[in-house]
Amino acid sequence: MQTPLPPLVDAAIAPDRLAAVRLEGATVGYDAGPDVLVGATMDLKPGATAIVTGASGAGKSTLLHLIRTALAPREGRVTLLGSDIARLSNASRAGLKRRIGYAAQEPQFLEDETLFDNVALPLNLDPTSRQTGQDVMDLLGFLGLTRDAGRSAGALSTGQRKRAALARALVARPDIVLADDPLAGVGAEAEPKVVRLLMELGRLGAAVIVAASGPVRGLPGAVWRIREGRLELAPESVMKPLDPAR
Amino acid sequence: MLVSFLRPSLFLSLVIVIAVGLAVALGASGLGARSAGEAAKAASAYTVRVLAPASEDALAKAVAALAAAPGVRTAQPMDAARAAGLLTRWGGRPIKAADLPPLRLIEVRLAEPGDSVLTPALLSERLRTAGVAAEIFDAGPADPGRPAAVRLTTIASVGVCGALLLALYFAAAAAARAERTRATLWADLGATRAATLAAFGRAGAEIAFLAGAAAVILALVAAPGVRMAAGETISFATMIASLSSWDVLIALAAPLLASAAASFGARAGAAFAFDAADRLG
Repeated sequence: MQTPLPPLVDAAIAPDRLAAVRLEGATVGYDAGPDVLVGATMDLKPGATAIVTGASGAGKSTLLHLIRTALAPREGRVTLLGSDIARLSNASRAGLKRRIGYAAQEPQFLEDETLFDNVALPLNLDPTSRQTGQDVMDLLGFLGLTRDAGRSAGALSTGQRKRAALARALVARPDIVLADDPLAGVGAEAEPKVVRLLMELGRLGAAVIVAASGPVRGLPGAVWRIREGRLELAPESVMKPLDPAR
Repeated sequence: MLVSFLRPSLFLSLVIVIAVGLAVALGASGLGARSAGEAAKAASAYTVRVLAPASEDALAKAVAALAAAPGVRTAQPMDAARAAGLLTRWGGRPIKAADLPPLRLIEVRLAEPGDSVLTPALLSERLRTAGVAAEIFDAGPADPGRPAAVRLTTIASVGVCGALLLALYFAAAAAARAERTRATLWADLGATRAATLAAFGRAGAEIAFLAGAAAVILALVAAPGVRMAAGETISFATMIASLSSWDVLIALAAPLLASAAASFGARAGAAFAFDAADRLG
């Protein structure tokens, strides 16, 4: 029997939650270093899923950093949820960040604090959040982390940390979900659950971008490739509308 | 939020720093008060001017009578050079000893501080008995260095308190910078700069207030040690009794001042970490 999805994800998305990522010729790099991505162009509609593939060091994580507004484009434009990130004030950018859920490849936690507190952090930082501690527990339960909720983050295994990072990224019901290699190290049992969560978020209207070394089994979506700093849609990729009954 | 996230790394350090600083400040303040009291007591020295008969013999009789008076440690004729020096100091313009007429002055120092009314009356009675007419002046502080010592201890107290607040500021800033992961995570998750700095400031204020309160108690216990180290014999009870209203004010204000200094420091440290994390690369 399939584990029921937590109500957090089953809840209806408000009509004004329009998630969209638009890159227009975005070139990006780190500090004074060379360009990592050159002229990246992507248009992701609300509810769409993009799987970005490429060799190690190709720039997949850099693309996610660009979209989570940690990096500014050297050239081109990045528009998130209708806002050009280069024109945002710091306060507006903070507000935008609260609508983006990001699960890093090697996630950072407050190591001395409990898993529950770490996952609930986005809710505590957003005074307008409607999610509660029960939502956190539901999500942890779905990802098989209920028993670890009271443990300090520093005591978690690599796989648990990856799942916890995903829970933290999703708990505030973001409009844009960025997951950097979310299946690596989570364990065979948790893999389908992670995929199912990402699919559900897409179905409910969030734009989902997953960086992975190859296609993610069971996760439908457009496959993009990064080669020699260029982001391109894979020829075999076909955007398929998701089955709303799923 | 009574449990500060800065507490584990900072609480004990703050208690020790505040307690040591406060103990030194209170000890110095007590020494200053004692020194001031002694300076006031030291005013019990007198200058006697022999009026009649106007002779060296009368001067000698007056010196003998004063030296024999109870409570007098020394009674000595003042030579012209010393008289000229004192007149120069009091009058504000230079006076040469050679220009002075015979003044027939006697310097009287008491063994113990005496009553400011009864002692001159006693000395007058002795002089009258010796057949000498004279006038008696309060000679002022016998040791002109004492007021400077009082000022020095006050400056030391203020200096220690100032250094203490600076130390708290920098300690809190360092602790906040050590919490860089928290500031980075908060920035990544969309906390505003103002909210982050406010939270760090609050955490710094809380921990320093609690540490300050604990340190006041430790300082009151340790302050007699400071005064004993300065060569004074004092017990805890006499130390408490000798606290001035200023000392009490300092002790009461210490947690609040510590709290303010640590709050500003924590905000500064958090600002550094937050700005580094929130910078668009």
